Amino acid sequence: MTQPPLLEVKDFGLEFRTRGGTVHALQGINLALHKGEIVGLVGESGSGKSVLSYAMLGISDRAARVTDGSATFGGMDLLQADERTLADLRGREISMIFQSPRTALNPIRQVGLQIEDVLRRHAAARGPDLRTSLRERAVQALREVAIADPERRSRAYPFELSGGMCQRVMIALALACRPSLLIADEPTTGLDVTTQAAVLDLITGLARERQMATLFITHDLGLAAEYCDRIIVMHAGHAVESAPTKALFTRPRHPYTARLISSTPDENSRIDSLAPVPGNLPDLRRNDLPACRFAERCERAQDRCRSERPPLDAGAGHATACWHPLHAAEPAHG
Amino acid sequence: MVEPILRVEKLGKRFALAGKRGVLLHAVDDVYLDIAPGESVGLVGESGCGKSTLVRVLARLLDATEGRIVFDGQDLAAIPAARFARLPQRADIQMVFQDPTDSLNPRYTARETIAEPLALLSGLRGAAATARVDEVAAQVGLAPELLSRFAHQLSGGQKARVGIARALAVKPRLLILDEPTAALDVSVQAVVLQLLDQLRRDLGLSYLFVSHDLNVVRLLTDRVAVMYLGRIVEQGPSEALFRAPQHPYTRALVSAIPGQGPRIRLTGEISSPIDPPPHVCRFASRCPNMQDRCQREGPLLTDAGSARRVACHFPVTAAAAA
Repeated sequence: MTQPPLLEVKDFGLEFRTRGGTVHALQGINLALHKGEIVGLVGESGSGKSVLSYAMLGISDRAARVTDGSATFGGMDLLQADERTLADLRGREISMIFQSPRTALNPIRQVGLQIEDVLRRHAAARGPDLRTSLRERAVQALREVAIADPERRSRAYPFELSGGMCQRVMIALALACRPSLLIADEPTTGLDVTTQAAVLDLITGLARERQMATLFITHDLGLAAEYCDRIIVMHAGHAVESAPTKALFTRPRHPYTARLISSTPDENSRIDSLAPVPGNLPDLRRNDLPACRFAERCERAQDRCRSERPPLDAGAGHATACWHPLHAAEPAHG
Repeated sequence: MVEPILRVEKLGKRFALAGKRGVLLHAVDDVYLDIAPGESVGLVGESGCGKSTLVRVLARLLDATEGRIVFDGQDLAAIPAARFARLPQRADIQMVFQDPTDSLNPRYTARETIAEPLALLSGLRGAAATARVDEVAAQVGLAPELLSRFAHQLSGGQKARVGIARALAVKPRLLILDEPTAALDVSVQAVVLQLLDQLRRDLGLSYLFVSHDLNVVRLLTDRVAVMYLGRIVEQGPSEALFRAPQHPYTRALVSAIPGQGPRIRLTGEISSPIDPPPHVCRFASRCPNMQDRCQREGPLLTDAGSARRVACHFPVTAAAAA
C-alpha cells in the first residue's frame, strides 16, 4: 500500500503490576490499519485483544505500564500525547463501541442528551455545523443507526430500550462526530442473532460509506470471517497470524489459528470433527514463559520455539509468527 | 413409534402484571412437544420468546397455567412446584444452567456441589455419596484433585463440568441444558459439546438443549423446535429444518448465521406479549409474507410432512424457495 497507515503499532509491549506478580500482557505487537479498512482482532479471552485497544485510547488500567514500542495515529504519537490531547481525540477522531451498552451508557440521562454531550464536547472543532442545533443532530445520529421514531427515542432512558436498541444508541454515540477510526469491542455480545446481524451490517455499512478504519474485536471467528477484510489472531499477548480473511480460513499457517478454526462449529462441522485447542492459556505472570507462548500447547513445537520468539511482520500480506508453520509461505508478489 | 419419555400438551404459562388487574403476559402459549428416550431436542428462539420460561416450567421450577407435562405416563403439571421438589421424580429431570459461575455456590467445594442433590434426592450420604461423586466426576472428566477446589479456583471449562456432574449425580433421564456453553471460549466449548454428546450415548439420556447458537444446536440435536413470542412456530429434524426452513421467522433466523448468504432483514416491531389478540399471527407485524388472513386467524402448528410441523398459513416450501 502506498498510503501510510492511519494507525500504526510497532513492537508494542505492555505489562500490569499486580500483587500476584507482573502480568506480561502484550509483547512485540505490530499492527497497521489503513483508511477504510475493516480489520478483525480475534482470540480467546485473556489473549490481550481488549488490553491492546484500551492502550490505543489511553484508557488503560492504572496498573498498566507500556514497556516497549510505539503507536502512531495519523502521524501523531499516541503514547507521548498528554491527557488533554487524547481527550480531544477520543470521540472525535477515534471512537469506541463497548461490549455491554447497558453499563457503558449513563443510566440516568436521556440517550439523546448523551449524544448531545459528545457533540458539545467536540463542537469547537466543528464550527460550521453548529448552525444546526445539537438536538437536531442528536436525533439525526439516532436516525442514521436505523432507530425508528428517533425524536421520541431520544428522550428515552437506557432502561426503557431493548438491548439491541441500546447498542444502536452506543453506535450513534460513537459515530456522531464522524471519527476516522472506530474500535468495536465485541459489539454484539449478548444480542440475539438477528439483532447481531442487523447491528454488524449497520456498523460495517457506515464504515464503508464513510471510509472509516475499523478494528473489530471479537472471539467469534464466524463473525470476523463475514465482516472483516483482514484478520489478526492473538494468543496470550502475542499476535500470531495476520492475513486477508479468505487466506486465513483457507490456508491458516499458525497451528493455533488452525485449531481455533476447527473448534468453531459451522454449517459443515460434525460433533467429532471439532478439534479443540489442547491445553490452556499459559499464566502470563510466569517469568519462564516460553519464547513462543503457544509452544506448550503445540504439537509442532521444537527447542527453538521455547528459546527464540518467532517474529510477525503484520504488513498487508499473509504473515505468521511461527517457526514451523502449517502451509509453506507462498512466493512473494511484486 | 416409541412412547415418548416427555409429552407436553397445550402447555401455557401466563404472568399477572403487578398493579394491573386482569392484564396477562403470555410467556408460553399452546405448546406441544414430544421427546423420545435417548433423543436430543433443540429449542431455539430469541430473548423474550419464552424459551427460558418453558424450560423452567418443564423442569418444574415454575407452575404451568394450563396444559399437561406427561413424564413417564404421569402428569407432572398437576403437582405444584413446591411439592415436586421433594418427590423422587425430581431426580428424573435435571437442569444444567447457563453461567457456570453464577450457578455454583461459591462457598462449596466441587465435591460438596455435586454431593448436595445426592443427599436431598437420593438419600446418599457418607461413603456412598463419596463413591457416587467420584464415579460421576470420572464420567465428566473432572480430575480427582479438582474436587476439593472452590468455584473461583476452577477454570470456565472445569466449572461447566461441575455443573454437568451435579445434574448427572442423581441419575436423571432427561437433562435440560440452558445455553450450557454460552459463557465459554470456542475451544473449551468444543470440548464440552463433545463431552455432552458422549454422555448422552453412554448413559442413554434425553436432552432438551436450549441455545441461541444455531450451529451448536445443529451439532447436538436430532430435532429442533423454534419459538417465537411464546409459541412454537416450527419443528422438525435438525438437518432438514436448518437446510430448508419453512416458517418465515425460521428463515430469517437461519439467514442471520454468519456465512449463510443473503440475509433476510426483519422490519417492523415485535408485537407485545401482553394480552396478544388471539386471532392474529404473532409474527405478522414483522413477516415479509404477511397477508390478510394472518390478521384474522392465528395459524396452528400443523403437519407439513417428513416429520415436520409449521405454524404458518403461507409456509415457504422447497419449490417456492427455489
